[in-house]
Amino acid sequence: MNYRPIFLPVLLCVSAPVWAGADKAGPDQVDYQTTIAAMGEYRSHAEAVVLEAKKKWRNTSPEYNECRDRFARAEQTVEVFLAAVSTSIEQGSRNRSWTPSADAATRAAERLFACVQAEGAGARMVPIPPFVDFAIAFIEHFLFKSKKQRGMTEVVEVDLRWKSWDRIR
Amino acid sequence: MQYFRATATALIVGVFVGCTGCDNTAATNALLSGVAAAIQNLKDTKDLVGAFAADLQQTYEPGSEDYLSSKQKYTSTKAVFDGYLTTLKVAALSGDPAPGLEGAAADANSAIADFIKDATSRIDPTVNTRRIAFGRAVHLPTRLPADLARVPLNARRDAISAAIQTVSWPPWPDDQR
Repeated sequence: MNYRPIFLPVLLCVSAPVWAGADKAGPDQVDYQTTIAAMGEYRSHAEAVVLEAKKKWRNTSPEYNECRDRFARAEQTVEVFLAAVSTSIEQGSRNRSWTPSADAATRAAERLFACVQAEGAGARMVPIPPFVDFAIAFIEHFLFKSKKQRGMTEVVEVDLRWKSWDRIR
Repeated sequence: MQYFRATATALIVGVFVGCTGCDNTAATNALLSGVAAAIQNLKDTKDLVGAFAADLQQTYEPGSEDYLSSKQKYTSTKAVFDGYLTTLKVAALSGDPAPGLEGAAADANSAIADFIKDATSRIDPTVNTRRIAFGRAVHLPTRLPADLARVPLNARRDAISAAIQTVSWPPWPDDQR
């Protein structure tokens, strides 16, 4: 049997979507990166707040303890949100807890930043984008998942986690 | 049959050549030096902003309105810059020049420009002419080398982690211990 006439066209048809999708980044990826940048800002602001609180109040004062409580709450909610982001990146699909946990993290961060807002450590509250449907191409999702998503997952799980109150100095 | 043999041979040669290319140290070094050039730009920005912050901190009485407002501006700008650095790390690790990097760089460029504008309006410009001129030219990199994915992941991780340590801004001068 002579396969030659159909071999190349079939090969081209099968591989074309792969190459076409290989370099494309959909709006979902931009959305993830906006979120990651926003969470990088939150982390930086949280550290500034802690430094300010440590400088301003004695560690037995009610204000210090209140700020520390708010930090603990914000840290927890940010952890939950980052877990939702990480799961969404891994699964390539909408995670149900994305939006509620983003809202909770934003509210908790607002309360934390308000501790010392008037003291020169005020934060620009960055809105965390709501999750947009994962629009990555089907073939790209399966073939390039590890390459494209590995970086985001590593940063979310390692770099964006907040340092503990005591380790910020 | 002959056709399939030729195709198979071409595939094997292709894979061999491709794999040899993967391990090309010269290409790796060239790409990493592209990253290093981007990092040098960030290092210069850090030095510039740090110098402005030190001047501002010395210009005003701690606790005064001007002092607090300068500190707040620095802290906010640092946070935007930290957001940019996180995005830069994602770009370096995924080996994707990352369209999100452009947005993060635009945000950070604009925040830094605001900070410098504010600082220069507060500090005597006659003693800071060179710094002000340099400050106007700050533009954070919006792309990493397109072929970065060819560099092994571990090399990329080491390079970007070391770079971020070098270019991260310290807290406001008075808050450093």
